Amino acid sequence: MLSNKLLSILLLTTISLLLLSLSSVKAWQYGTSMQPTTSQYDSIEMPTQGMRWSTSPNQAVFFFWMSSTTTDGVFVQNGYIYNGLDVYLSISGGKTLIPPHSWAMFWTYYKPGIGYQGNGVLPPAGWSASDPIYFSIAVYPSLGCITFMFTKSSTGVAIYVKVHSVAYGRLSGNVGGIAESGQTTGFGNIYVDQIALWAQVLSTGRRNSGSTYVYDQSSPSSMLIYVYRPNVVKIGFNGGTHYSAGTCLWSTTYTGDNEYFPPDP
Amino acid sequence: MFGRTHIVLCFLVVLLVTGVGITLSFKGFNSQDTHVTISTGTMTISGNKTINGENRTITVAPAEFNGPRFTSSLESLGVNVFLSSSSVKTGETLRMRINLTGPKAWNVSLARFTVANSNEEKVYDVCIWLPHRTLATGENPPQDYVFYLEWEAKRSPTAGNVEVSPGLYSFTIMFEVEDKELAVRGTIEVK
Repeated sequence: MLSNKLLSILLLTTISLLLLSLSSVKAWQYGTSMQPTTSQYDSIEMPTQGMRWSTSPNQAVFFFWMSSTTTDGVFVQNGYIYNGLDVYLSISGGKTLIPPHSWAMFWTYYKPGIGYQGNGVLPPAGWSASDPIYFSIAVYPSLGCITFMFTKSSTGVAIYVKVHSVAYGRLSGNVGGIAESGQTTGFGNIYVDQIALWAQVLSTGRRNSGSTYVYDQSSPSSMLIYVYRPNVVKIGFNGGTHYSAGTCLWSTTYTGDNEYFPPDP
Repeated sequence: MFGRTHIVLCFLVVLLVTGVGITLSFKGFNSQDTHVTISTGTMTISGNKTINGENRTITVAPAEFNGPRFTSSLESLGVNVFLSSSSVKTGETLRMRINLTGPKAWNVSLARFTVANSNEEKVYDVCIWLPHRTLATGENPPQDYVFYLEWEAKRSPTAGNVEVSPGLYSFTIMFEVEDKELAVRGTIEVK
């Protein structure tokens, strides 16, 4: 016969296990961890000037991304990509075929020991390169899951990609990246009227902006936004693809400002 | 009657379920199995803004690379291509794991991947974009880079929708490094 004491222990252990399983799903969203230096929220997003760049018709591949790294070394990114080639374009590990001279979105991740995986996301009907599109990333360490999200804010339609069994560390904070494109003339000239890093307190939904650096290494090398501490968030353009046959494919002027982020929720 | 024996049985069931869960979790951690789900749904952002959509799902099967290996190299770049299998049935997918090594491995950002039939007629022709992680401040560029390719053995718009039927096919993966071209070539049997 089992004693009452033993039964109580078994019951308590059972309840604890059930509670543990319920509480283990938690999302850490977006980029980097920042120290709180202000109590102001819902301030204006980073007041950048307009960013303009030009691409030539014979360019190779153009892309824009936001990215971050988890505490277990998994690097994640999503963004735009434009296939300026005369052949279809694919992304490491992916099946999606991006037709020549067309744009798409993409997500990729790098896992140490595994390498680079990703895929393209063809824009749904009605999505245009000139639409404001929000890119965001979340990591669910308890599930090992990464979620990439592409949101067309004007219509409120989002695509999210969930990749399972990949990342068991968390992103180091709570920063998002936004690229809002205002107008475009195909991809010969693209105009993005605002680009910003922002942070959101998940418990309240309030957003704050700032503490970002904009760093212009000047054309034709990379143009980047760094968040310097304590981790790296990078928004920018890959270097080395901005020249074609000796022609500068884009140039830019860019300025930024410093503001502050709220703490993690 | 719900006696002590039932309580003990319940406890053992919970313990068993938890154990299986933990085992699967560790299996997931160690596995290269990647399940990709693409879906659009309804969610709320910023407390009050609702996003709408519809659901779609894509699952990527686990990949093992037990097939033949093909290699090629230049002075500054070595390439090893591992196939998931030596053959593939029509309509099925062949996977490739590509290891780049050497001082120029980090500099490669595009690869051209073509598959041709025995008449040298292309059945697949794409460029592959190779993403790169952000290096930490002061980190030297890695001398190795791993990426993946897939070929679905069927007609493709990338090469004029040429029919893929059983036979021997050749593939080429082409890289450009400092104005030099490096190609890895191999064969695939389609059954």
